[in-house]
Amino acid sequence: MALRIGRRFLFGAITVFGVILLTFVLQFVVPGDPARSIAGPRASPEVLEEIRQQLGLDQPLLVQLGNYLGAVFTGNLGYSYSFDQPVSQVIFERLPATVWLALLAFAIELAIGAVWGSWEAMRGRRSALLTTVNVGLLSMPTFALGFLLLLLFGYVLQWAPIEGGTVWANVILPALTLGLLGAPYYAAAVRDGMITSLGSPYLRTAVSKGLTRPVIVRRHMVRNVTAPIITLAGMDIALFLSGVVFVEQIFAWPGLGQLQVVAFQNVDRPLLTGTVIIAAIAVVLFGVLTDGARALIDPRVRTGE
Amino acid sequence: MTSLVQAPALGAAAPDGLDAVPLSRAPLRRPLSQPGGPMLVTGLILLGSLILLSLCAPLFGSPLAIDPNGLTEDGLPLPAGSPGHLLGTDVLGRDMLARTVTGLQMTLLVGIVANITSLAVGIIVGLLAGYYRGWFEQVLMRIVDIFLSVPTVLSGLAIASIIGSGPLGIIVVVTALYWAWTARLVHGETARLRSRGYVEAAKIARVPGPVIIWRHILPHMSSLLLNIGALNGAAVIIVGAGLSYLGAGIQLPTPELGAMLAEGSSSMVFAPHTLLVPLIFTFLSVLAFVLIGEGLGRRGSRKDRVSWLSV
Amino acid sequence: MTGIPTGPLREVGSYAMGEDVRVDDLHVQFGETEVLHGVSLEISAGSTLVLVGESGSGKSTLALAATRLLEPGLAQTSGRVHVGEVEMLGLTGATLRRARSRVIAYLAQDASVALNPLMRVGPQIAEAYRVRERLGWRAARVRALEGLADVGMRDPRRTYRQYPHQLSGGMRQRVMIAIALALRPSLLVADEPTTALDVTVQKEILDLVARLQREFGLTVLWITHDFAVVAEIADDVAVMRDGRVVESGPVHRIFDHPEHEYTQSLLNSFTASRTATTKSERARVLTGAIAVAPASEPATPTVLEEDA
Repeated sequence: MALRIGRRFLFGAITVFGVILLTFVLQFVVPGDPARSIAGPRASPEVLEEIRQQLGLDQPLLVQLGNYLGAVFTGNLGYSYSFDQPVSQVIFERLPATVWLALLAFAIELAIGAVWGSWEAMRGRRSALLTTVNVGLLSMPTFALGFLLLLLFGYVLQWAPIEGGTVWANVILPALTLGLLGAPYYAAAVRDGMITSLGSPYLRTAVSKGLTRPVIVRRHMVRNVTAPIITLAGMDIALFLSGVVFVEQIFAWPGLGQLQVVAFQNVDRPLLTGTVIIAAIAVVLFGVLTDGARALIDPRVRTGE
Repeated sequence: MTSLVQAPALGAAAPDGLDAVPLSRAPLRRPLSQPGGPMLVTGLILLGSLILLSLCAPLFGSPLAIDPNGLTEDGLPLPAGSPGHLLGTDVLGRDMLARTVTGLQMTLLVGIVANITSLAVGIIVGLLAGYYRGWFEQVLMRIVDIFLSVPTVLSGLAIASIIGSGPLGIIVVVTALYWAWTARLVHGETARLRSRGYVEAAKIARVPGPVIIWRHILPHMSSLLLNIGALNGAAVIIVGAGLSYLGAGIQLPTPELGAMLAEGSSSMVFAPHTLLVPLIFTFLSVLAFVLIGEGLGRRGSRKDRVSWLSV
Repeated sequence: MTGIPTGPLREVGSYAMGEDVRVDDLHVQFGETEVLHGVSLEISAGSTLVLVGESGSGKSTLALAATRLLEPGLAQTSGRVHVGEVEMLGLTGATLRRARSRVIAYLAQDASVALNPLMRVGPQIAEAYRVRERLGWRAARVRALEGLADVGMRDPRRTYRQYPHQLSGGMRQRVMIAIALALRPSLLVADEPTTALDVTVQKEILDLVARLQREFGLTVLWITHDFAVVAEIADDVAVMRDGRVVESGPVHRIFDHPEHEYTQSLLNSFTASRTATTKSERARVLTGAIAVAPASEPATPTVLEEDA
């Protein structure tokens, strides 16, 4: 099993490296001159040239790449000129907001999904109403739901503030948007997991021992249902951490997603690359964590493929 | 937009036939009576209606024409139901109905084409990676990983800025963003099917690889592929609209539902219909694909069981 | 798996566990289809009744109905199943649960899916002791280890900690037996527990159950399609076909003078066994049957054209 985790790490490292490479290359293909972005539209060519020298943009590509890789490995992600701060600091300051949003959204979708999925599983039949809700949520683009909720709760009902207000008040709508959109997936995972479990012979064995229902659920069903949820949760949280641009835009939530857009508009390459790297690391890291968690829960994963 | 990528992990697996017997092509019988049938049919009808509607776009008048009487005395857009403007007007006095139907045309065009292209690329890569194992497979899957690790929106913006706006640009962008998850799923399924008896037999008989893939592996993935296809279609439309919303795709004044959403968001306080109308049509377009996907997905599933614990 | 240790069993109590069992006019219907048409059986306490029948004869349904393990809502059942003084079909709620944990034990056909794959086997046995004897986990563990030794595990401590997928088919079935035994049932219903096993392992499991039955005085209802099993352990036999019992009686009478033509035809496909008279001969026939006479291969259900 250590071998498996080792392999995952290796592949993950390769993936992150590939992402860095790709971003680096893309930077030069994407139109936009960072020097001009810093200096302004009326700067003279000499000033531009000087800035380029400062940024090291006049060096051959490979040298730039080498410099950059070296810097990344020592934790230096460069300097963001749109924020006038080191990239790592900019990201660090925005990280809590993103994590907050991610955790709250995850809690909401997990809660809704678990209740929904288990209710449908125990009931034995799909309810038409819930199926409609299911399909409805799946068909809703993120920004669409965001707007709807903003319209509804912000303007019509005036429950949530459009601007200002406490952190909680501001985070609840974006978290609710993400949570509602993710809930159908968790509901499906819980429902499928429970139905599989309920139909399994080992549950019959448990019943035949004369165990009470709470004990059966707790000891025999929960763990068996958790595995697919862990896979889902891993991917989900990684995606949250990669930046949920639309939601952050609509609700003006200062997370990594907004950062990406700002960086893009300002052609702030170091910041751009920095956020992409963080995102890639998040995806890879959660992939490994998910693998590990599943191995912890399911012994069959541990002892073989 | 982000969540749809994970959808097929939850139950798109195709039911399997016997291990040693190649699949015969069972005809699609009586769709309405099967589980999920009504959803499938509803989705197809909805999609058909939307396509038909969008093809009739020219009949609704020009989406670019500004009606001199298109605004109220205060300069506000006319609400829905106003004479001459069934769905009202936008902030410039243009007819919402014409704009929406034309926008729908663009959205559906981009969506369907991008769906096909991203599926094609994903399926091909997945099949190749899953069939020809070894380092070839590893390299391909690492590339897939990389594409899956990059933030979607950002890459979309980046690629769009390189390629330029317009329908072709968006199609390329969306294809680049969405081929990877199909590839991963198809790879997994191909690798699983590859160890089947009839595949081994064909290999021993020196049947060439592509023929094996075509005749022995693809048919067994048909329901998985249909499922993926529908969900991919839904995701693609959402992404396309999203990118246009951010300004990276179809540029105004050419109407596209995403761009209209962006417009509408700034006027939604005083003229909510400018937001709601494109929103509803976007939603319906995605809904059609989701219904088709869910309807297809239900057909192969286990029937729901009554709980043991209700005893 | 090597041979079963033949040491003395642990003292459980001086009483025999088994009770008289009577099935009265059991009807089971799945939706529109009636699967069991008024089945009646009797099993004397401490004896083994082997229920023989082919696939689709309804024997598994009978087993599940009697133990109240049919999927709820799926079937309509009527009739009576008396195990000692308990009538199984009329129970509900907490009484039903108690009956499940004390009166009846069910041995499934495929132990690989009948055990929780995410739990070690030891606790799955201990759990049964906990319910039955109201013990804490540590005491239950001790009993479970004893139980594992009773069913012939060489290294109970090691097996206790293993997961089901780490055990062989025969070992898993022994674990199932240990669970069943933990419940100290008045009736043990064995639903083709040896069908999925290799022939040599089948023999071992059969011997194990026979031994446990003798030592604990269990009443056993053993379901099978294989007459070799009948020959091996039956005291009485009941033959089922299409949801009905066509014949029943003591094993020797069934073998020597079958009355129903269906019983006769089943016996005909098992010619080799009929000539064996001693247990060891029958054992040799069992293990050698595969090579010698394919028609009497125990693992394959026989299909008789006359009955089609």
